[in-house]
Amino acid sequence: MNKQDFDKNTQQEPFDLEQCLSTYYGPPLREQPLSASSWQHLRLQLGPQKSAGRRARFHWPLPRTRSRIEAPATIQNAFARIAYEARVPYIPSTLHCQLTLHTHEPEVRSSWPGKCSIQLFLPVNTVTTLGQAELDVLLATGLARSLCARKLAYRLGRLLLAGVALMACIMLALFWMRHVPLPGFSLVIALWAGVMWGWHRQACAIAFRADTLMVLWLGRGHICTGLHALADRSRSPRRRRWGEPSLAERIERVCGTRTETREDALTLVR
Amino acid sequence: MATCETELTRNAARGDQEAFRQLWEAHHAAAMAAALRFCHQRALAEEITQGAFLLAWRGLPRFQQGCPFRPWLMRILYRHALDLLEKQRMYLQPLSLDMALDAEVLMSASSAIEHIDLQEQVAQREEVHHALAQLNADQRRVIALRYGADLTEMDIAQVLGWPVGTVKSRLNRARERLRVMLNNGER
Repeated sequence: MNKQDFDKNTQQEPFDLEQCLSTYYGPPLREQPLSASSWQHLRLQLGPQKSAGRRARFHWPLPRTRSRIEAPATIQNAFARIAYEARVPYIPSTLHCQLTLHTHEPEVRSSWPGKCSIQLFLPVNTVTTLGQAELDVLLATGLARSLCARKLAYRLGRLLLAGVALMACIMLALFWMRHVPLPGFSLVIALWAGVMWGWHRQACAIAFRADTLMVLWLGRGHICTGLHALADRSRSPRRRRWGEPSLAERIERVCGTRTETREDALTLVR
Repeated sequence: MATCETELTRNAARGDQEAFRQLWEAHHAAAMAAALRFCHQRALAEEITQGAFLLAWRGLPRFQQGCPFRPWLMRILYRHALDLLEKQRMYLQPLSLDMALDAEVLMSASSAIEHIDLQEQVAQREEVHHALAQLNADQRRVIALRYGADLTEMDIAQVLGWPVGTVKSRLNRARERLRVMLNNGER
């Protein structure tokens, strides 16, 4: 064997990944018709069609006080669709609905990170008038916030804040026992204020991050429609609550930012 | 044809099952072919196709009338197929005999690769299958859409709802990893 032959043998052909993957998936196929029974099987699963434009109508017995009920099919369907868009497993038991007389506007709360449940509070006078976009925004908010809250950074942040709060409590007890004068107490109060502020900021950051996720899932147009509808319903859309940005702030961020609108997001079921 | 399809989608969105049946008649065979190319298993492909049509039925009220139905349906199908493949952990399952045989049937449709030995083909598929299993789910998704559905990066971004830049970077990273794994396998 001369040197040239040796070089030829040792030098490998360049690896063609494109060809390799194309071979793996194969060429485009001709149409593959299914049997007629496939349609019959599909038809049985179709169920009634629900109009997107029509407002959801719920027929619940209205209780006198707040009551926890199983979410009706309309809400469960909406939740299943959003879970699908978010590519998370749909678990019906994570969604809890409560009818309440005490609040005037619908709201959603995500549970403590470990529990993974979403609570939807609906005032009794809104259950028959709640639109699809509003419902989608509420459910997507709950789901997105619960997903964001599971992030390690968030958990560590909460843990840190809880640790500082605990330390402040211990310091307070020590100062009390040792009769430390005013500066000691003011330090504890400052620590507590810091914890509260940090908690609020973190919750707001999660809320905004969750809004971004919602836009990705459902499209900016749909989210804006829902947020505006919720703001119209609200008595004070500019009011902030602890750990919760105001509706006006959310609208400003979601609808007012100069982000390219994806028109097809409104048509994509995905 | 376009007007007719618009009429059918409009009626189906209102709950007309007969209109939806006609849409199914017109598009299910193409959808099944796409699903079969994705998973190489007839039973699973049928499940994907039926599932996609079910999702389309539920989503029809939100379908923008006047737009072509098939691209919309295919986006649903691709997403559903990817979800199902990941859910069933198809990439972690060893290549079954049925899959290999199905693949060989699919391969035989192409004249360009007739000269390749079937045994070698199956071995190569096994190797690619194993390499795909080692990618993360997002990388597998982009690879499947790029090579299993022949979509452009723009189309992939639309199907997955990711920015185009993300699609490009994930695709490149997936290619690099596959190249390393398959190159090592060859040597």
